[in-house]
Amino acid sequence: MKKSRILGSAAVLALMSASVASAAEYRVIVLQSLTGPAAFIGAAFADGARLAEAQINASGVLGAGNTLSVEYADDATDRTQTMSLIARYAADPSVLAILGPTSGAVAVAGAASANEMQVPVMTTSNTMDVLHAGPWSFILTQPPQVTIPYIADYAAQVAGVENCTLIGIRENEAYVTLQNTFEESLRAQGVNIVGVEQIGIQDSDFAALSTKVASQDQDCVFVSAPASQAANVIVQLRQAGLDPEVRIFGHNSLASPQFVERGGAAVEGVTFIADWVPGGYDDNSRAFDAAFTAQFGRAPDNWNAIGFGGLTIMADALSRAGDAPTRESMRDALAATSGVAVPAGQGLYALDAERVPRVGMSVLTVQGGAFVLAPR
Amino acid sequence: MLLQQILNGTVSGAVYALFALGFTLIFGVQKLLNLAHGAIFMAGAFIAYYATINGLPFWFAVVLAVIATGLVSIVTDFVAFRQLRKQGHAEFAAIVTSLGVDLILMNIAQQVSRTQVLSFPFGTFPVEFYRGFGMRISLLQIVILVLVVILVAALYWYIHRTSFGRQIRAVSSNETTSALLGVSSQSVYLQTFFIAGALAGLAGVLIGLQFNSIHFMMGEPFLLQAFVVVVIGGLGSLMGAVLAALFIGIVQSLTIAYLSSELSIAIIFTLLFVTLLFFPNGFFGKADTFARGSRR
Repeated sequence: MKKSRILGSAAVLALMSASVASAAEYRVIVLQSLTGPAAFIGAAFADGARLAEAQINASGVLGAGNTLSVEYADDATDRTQTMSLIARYAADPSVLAILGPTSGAVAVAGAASANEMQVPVMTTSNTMDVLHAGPWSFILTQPPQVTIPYIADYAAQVAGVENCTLIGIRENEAYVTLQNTFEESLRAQGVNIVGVEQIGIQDSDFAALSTKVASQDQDCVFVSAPASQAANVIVQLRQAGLDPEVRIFGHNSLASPQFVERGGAAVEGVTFIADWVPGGYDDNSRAFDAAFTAQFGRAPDNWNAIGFGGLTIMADALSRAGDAPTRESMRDALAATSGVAVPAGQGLYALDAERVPRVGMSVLTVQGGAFVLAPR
Repeated sequence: MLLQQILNGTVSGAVYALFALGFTLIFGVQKLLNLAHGAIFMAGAFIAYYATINGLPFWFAVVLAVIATGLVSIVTDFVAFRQLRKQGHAEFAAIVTSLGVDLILMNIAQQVSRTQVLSFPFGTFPVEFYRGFGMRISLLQIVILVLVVILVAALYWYIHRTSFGRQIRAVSSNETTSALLGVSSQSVYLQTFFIAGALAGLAGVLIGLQFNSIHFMMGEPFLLQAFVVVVIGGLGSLMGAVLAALFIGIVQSLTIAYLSSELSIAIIFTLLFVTLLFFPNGFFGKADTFARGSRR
């Protein structure tokens, strides 16, 4: 009896120690523009990822005892710094994947480097050049070719606009591509482009531009800028006397509480597409909204939601990458991503056969200071 | 639209002038380019914003921001310029040290604001518009124009009509000789840095208020514009800075209105290039500058 108790205890101890021994720490790098011109994306992205990291580790989704170890690195919106960081992390065999970098020009260079060094990267930028760089590089956000038709079709077919002026920032490749895709899509549907105006990402004085646009004959204005700046442009357009009948459209960057906070009554009726529906629209996104607000003391925006979703997708790939994930198995698991619950888009994230993200978009409008689904 | 665009350009130029005056004042006295000036401008907007949202009356927040940025500017002099002045040949090194201060201040502001774009609460300043002669002008634009006229006149009077101003001009002309005559150069530096910082801080508040946007990098475009303004106006020339600022503001507005918004920066820097080629001292560099001598 005594002998069997001792043997039993030894067996339990052996099992426990085996369990402890098999507990693993999976290392992922969140490489984003925490400073520099693209910090408005990267810093918000990192906040979303931090929340996801805490939830992933608390949930045990990676297996009992296994943890996700995330290091947050700053590419400073600088190509040289990005290359140097990718080289550093690629040389570290404990790093399984990199979530980043942020902006297009930096991401393309980073993707080439990651393919050469064979480390999986998933860039925030949605430029297709990242995918063309090789099988090790992925894009997290849907490219304009997928997202912009949602709003261009709405403008041309539902709102019935005929003459449109475009205003957009010139420094960020992703925003320029979004604007160009909108322009091409409208032209293809017979809409006349009245003018294309460019602004700087740090500009705040749009008085001259607003006076010019307000004096033009158009029934549509498209604004391609981050939420706060777009709100500022629209406020100044209204102050310059823009015809209230002119419909204003935008893309997914407007889906931020800051848009309404900064724009107030001026942004009523503005219509845009959204990855993120503020406040959430289903249980998963509402839970994200509540958790983010509780942790950061403010409501999440588009990039917070995308950052949260990005790390969730990484964790999902890790959970499918085998008992001892390698960079190769992570690459293959990422390429096979399907049906991952994220707070953005229509809620379920997948990569298609060409590794292009598919998660859907919503068309929203501002009504009574809140975002609601745009009427069809 | 032409008159409205000229008015828009005049208001923009007035704020550029407020910003550029401090920049050119420091150059006039010390022959140094203070690249932290943009961050001090940004600090003015941040201080007024946080004072306002913490319940202080707006007028008090503005006064607080002006005084605080004056003091930040003095601290900048202590940490970035003072040692270099003692060693002589500070011109290039000062660019590097002031750039360092600029980055530090921006980094602090980025951390404080968590990279968010901030704006004064609605109703901080009445939003009222007046119409006349086919133009539209806001109460805030009127206040900005009046304030800039008063401040430029006051600064001109201070530099040219007071004994403190004479000391500033004496030190800017020749620091060694003015020291022999009993003028304290340290006191002059304190004054000029305080005035420059206070003007930049006020410009920051006005821009933050007018355009509904306060951001940790908001000073950088203004620093570039100020550089163009002081070169065209003549480094060290107060009147040159004011006239060049108004000129740049109007050129920028008219370019956006009648050519293309894409061309406005190219045209402004072409003006800078042409000015440097044909008028290396700027348009008022010799006629008006209070800083014709050497620092030592």
